[in-house]
Amino acid sequence: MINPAYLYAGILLAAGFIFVIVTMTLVSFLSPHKRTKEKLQTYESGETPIGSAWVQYPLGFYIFALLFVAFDVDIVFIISWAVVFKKLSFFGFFEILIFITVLALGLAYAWRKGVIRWI
Amino acid sequence: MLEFLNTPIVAGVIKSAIVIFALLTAFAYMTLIERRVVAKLQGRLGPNRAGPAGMFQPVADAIKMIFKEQIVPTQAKKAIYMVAPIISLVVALSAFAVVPIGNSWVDGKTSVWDPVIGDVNIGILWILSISSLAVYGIVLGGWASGNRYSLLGSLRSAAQMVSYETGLGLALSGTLMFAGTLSMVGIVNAQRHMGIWFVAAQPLGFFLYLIAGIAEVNRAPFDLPEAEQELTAGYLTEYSGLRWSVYQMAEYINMITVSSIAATFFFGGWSFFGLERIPGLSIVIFLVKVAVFLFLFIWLRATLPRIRYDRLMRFGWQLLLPLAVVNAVISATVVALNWPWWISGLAGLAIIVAVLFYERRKINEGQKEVTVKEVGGSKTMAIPTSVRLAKFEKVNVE
Repeated sequence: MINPAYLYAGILLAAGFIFVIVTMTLVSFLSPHKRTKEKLQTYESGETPIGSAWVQYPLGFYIFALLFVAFDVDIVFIISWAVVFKKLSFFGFFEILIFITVLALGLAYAWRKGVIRWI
Repeated sequence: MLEFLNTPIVAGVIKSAIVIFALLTAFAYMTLIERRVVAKLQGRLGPNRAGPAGMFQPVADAIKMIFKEQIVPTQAKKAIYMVAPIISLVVALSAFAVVPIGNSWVDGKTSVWDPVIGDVNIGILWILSISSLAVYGIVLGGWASGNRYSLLGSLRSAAQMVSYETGLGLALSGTLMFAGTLSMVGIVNAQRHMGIWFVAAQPLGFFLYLIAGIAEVNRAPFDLPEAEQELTAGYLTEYSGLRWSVYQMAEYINMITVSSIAATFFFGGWSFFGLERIPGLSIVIFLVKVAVFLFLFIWLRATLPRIRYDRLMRFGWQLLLPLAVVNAVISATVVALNWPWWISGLAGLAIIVAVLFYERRKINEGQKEVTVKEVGGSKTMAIPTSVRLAKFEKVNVE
């Protein structure tokens, strides 16, 4: 038996979805459609764009995404631990200290490697 | 006769409609208030033509937006380009489902008409997970636009959001240890039960949350994805008409959500020292608290210059995240040893002061001497260490 609160939260999700779809459909009837070649051109401050828009971008973005995955999983663990923390008492406390130390070591390693310096 | 109205699902639908309407009205008037306040802070007048004090400006803007052409550029990937703004807005709206807007109508007794749509028992996880979906709207929109500005803007936005998401989650975990529940209603009740606002026990967590929250919603001074000087309008460059305003709506509604979480987690939500027992007044109290935070957002935008991108990332990973870890350890220690709450409060304040002093010293003393060659000799000058001069190597031309 799942909590009915999820159903009500789902109602807002559905209501938001319906609202956005209905509004966008209505407005697409109201707004003008006069296409010209120049209007549909990609905007590059007045210049005619040369080549594809999907350019190469710095590898840094990728590394940050990797770091994020590692840390975000940790945070999901810490948040769920924080709720039952009072029941776990000292065993849970020391366990999380070890866990946070490992987390900090990972951050220190990334820092030392110069990954989070961006440039 | 009207008994069917009291079933939970009908109540849920009506409350959802009210919340969506209220959020959109709040968005419309936030744009007006923001323009007026920023204008006042900069010594201008701001929009004051449409109606008394510009009251009807949002209506005029809405009508204009409806009758604007919605352009889909030829280079864009059409389907994704059209879906991306919808994702942004739906996600922003549905994050509000678990926010308790007021006390139940009879104090301590729940009913279907309580001003919270769904008191999900994992409330804050719902908000965190839903709001991290917002990055999809921005990344897909920027990628599908077929524009280099958009692509770079959306990548920046994604990197920034994921960098600050970690700090944000950890900053909130300290409060969760004190409250012992993930439910937003439960967190407000825990504060009423303890008789304090958690900002007193978690000042460091509050400041970290506020900074990370501003970065999460891409607001000034962290609005790098929309930096006009560098990227035109970032991921919004190719959007026009209603699709553009849908992105704007999503941004402002996210701001309102971040403000409501700050009010709920650290400032007691709808409670105000017993005044919340009067039915209806609790909603007003909550709205006032949220409005204070929204004003803070506008104030910061008018006051602070935009931060540089590499510093933004370094700030997130090298200062915000380690401090959030320290905050979590302090809170865990205090709760585990059953110490009173003010110990973690004092420790948090001490760390804030220490960090501010350290940063100030770095700015004041971190100067280096450089020798600049000029025509007719060279001169030495002192510049801050944060400034890095470009070095050009000699090129041998043969």
